[in-house]
Amino acid sequence: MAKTIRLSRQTVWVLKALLEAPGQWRYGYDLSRETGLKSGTLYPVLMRLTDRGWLMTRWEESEPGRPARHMYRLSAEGARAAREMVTAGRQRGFVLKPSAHEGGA
Amino acid sequence: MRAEAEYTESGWEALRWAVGCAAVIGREWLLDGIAVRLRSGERVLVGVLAGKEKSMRRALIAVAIVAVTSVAFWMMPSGRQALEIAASFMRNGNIFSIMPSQRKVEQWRKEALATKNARLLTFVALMEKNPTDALAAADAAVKIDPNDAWVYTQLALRSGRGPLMSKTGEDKFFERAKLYDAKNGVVLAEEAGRAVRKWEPFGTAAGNPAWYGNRSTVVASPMEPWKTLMEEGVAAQKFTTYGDEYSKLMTWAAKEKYLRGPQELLIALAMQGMVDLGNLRNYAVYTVADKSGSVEEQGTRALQVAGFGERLAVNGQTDIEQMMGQYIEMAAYGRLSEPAMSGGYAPLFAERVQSLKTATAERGRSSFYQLDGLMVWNAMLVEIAALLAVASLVVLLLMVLRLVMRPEGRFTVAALWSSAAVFVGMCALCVVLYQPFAALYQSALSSPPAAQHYKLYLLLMSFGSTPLIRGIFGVMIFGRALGLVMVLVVLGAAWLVGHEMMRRARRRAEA
Repeated sequence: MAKTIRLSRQTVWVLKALLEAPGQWRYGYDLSRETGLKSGTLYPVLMRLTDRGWLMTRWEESEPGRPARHMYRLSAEGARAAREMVTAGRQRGFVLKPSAHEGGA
Repeated sequence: MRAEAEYTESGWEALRWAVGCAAVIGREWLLDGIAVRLRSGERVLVGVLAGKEKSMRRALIAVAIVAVTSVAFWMMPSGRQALEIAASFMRNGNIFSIMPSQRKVEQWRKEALATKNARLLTFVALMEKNPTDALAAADAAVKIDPNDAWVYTQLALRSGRGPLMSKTGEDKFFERAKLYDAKNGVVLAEEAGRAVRKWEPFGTAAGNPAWYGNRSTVVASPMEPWKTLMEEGVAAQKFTTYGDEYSKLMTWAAKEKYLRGPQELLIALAMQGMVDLGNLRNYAVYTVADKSGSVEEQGTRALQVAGFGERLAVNGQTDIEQMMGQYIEMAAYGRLSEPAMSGGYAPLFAERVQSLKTATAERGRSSFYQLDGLMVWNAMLVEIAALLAVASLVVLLLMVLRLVMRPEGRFTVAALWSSAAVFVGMCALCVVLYQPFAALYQSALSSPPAAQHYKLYLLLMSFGSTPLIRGIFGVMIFGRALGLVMVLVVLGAAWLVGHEMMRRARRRAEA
């Protein structure tokens, strides 16, 4: 089992956004808009989650003249851990940002 | 990260995205390193702590390096001078706030008395702010070496005028000067000046020597004994303020490290006692403007004044005295050139008059101190290096504080190493960039007085004329800015401690 990550609001927001569609590959900018986190905050979270094996990553096939984009998706272990952390976050009273699927910003 | 910037909604959003990404890359470079592919295809990890254990031991090594560098930097004279000069301008905006403390003067006095060092006692007498202590030191010096009696004349000339000495005790200095140096024209002129109650207009502007123009001539009231003493003083064979002896003593004090660096030396030199030049000028102009007696008697008086002026212009021990000597000569020659003065004096001094006019015109055209642009920019780099060294030291100390509170902090250790590296680099840069000024100072110590003054002013005004001091921060504002920085540092430390205490309280609550 992977080492537990420190529970922070920002980490919970990212995991919640990824849990909305666990099998779907997500771009960094889309996650940023969904969670409200800026790039300087978002990417360290993504990098920690990737290091722990909770996220899978891949490069998208790029359009000609454009750089390839990196995509993220929860692994099986990550999905399980994410549900636990989101639940723990609710219990701690973290304010959970509404996701796009819920019609929020 | 970079690719995502192309999918942002606006240019401003792309800029913010890129700035955030740069911060992430910088942080990773500090902490874990960034994988860089070389031309050979090999991938290496590049970073401050890349691949290394981020431990408390490494943090302590960084602190030790900074501590050793600080000591080495401070012990190096050029490093210390660079920092002191830069800091004094940034703190006070001028160089004249640097003075040896009374505690130091007291230490020197004890040392001098214990070792019976007349030279050091003379120096102490001239550095003392208390007239009674100054007189005691001077008496002790003269008792050991009577050749140091010139110090009484210097003290008498300085008393009651500069920022250091109160009027209390000035009579005793003058009494000693009259006792030991009675034949010195400067002492006689000083006594004449002290006898003046007020200055009164003499004659009319029309009666002035040609050079003096329309300014009103003044004469002392009461006329006697001022006139008699001034006549004796001007005619005396010896007319000296002992400027050479004074400069040599201060230079010796700088070489022996009693005076630290160019600032204290320049201030000490500036404290030199001088004859009352206004008194000399008033006497000279009154004498040549006085139309009493025959034309021959008037001419004789004017010749005597011209002779005195020439002696002062040639032998004056400061450039101001030399300039006054030239002005007095011009007044006398102006009078001697008038048509009313029969005897054809004018042709006798035509050449001298022309050289004086040329010297006066050249002085008016030239700037006394020509600053070298390259030296000013060099000085600014020293100031910037000093600022960055201090800033990095502050950051390092804050990181040490944070590390004490959170030993596992990875970013803290990396920031600590980075600030240590900046500190060491800036100290080295400061020393290297200050070398031309250090060489100029050493040259000043072995120069005659006039050149010495020039070199010291050149050195210090290079620092005082940088765009950093005069432009960006401004002379007055920067002193307050430094105070603001200190407040921010204290607030930063308080925030670190408070934030850590809150974090621990939250952890305990969660547990």
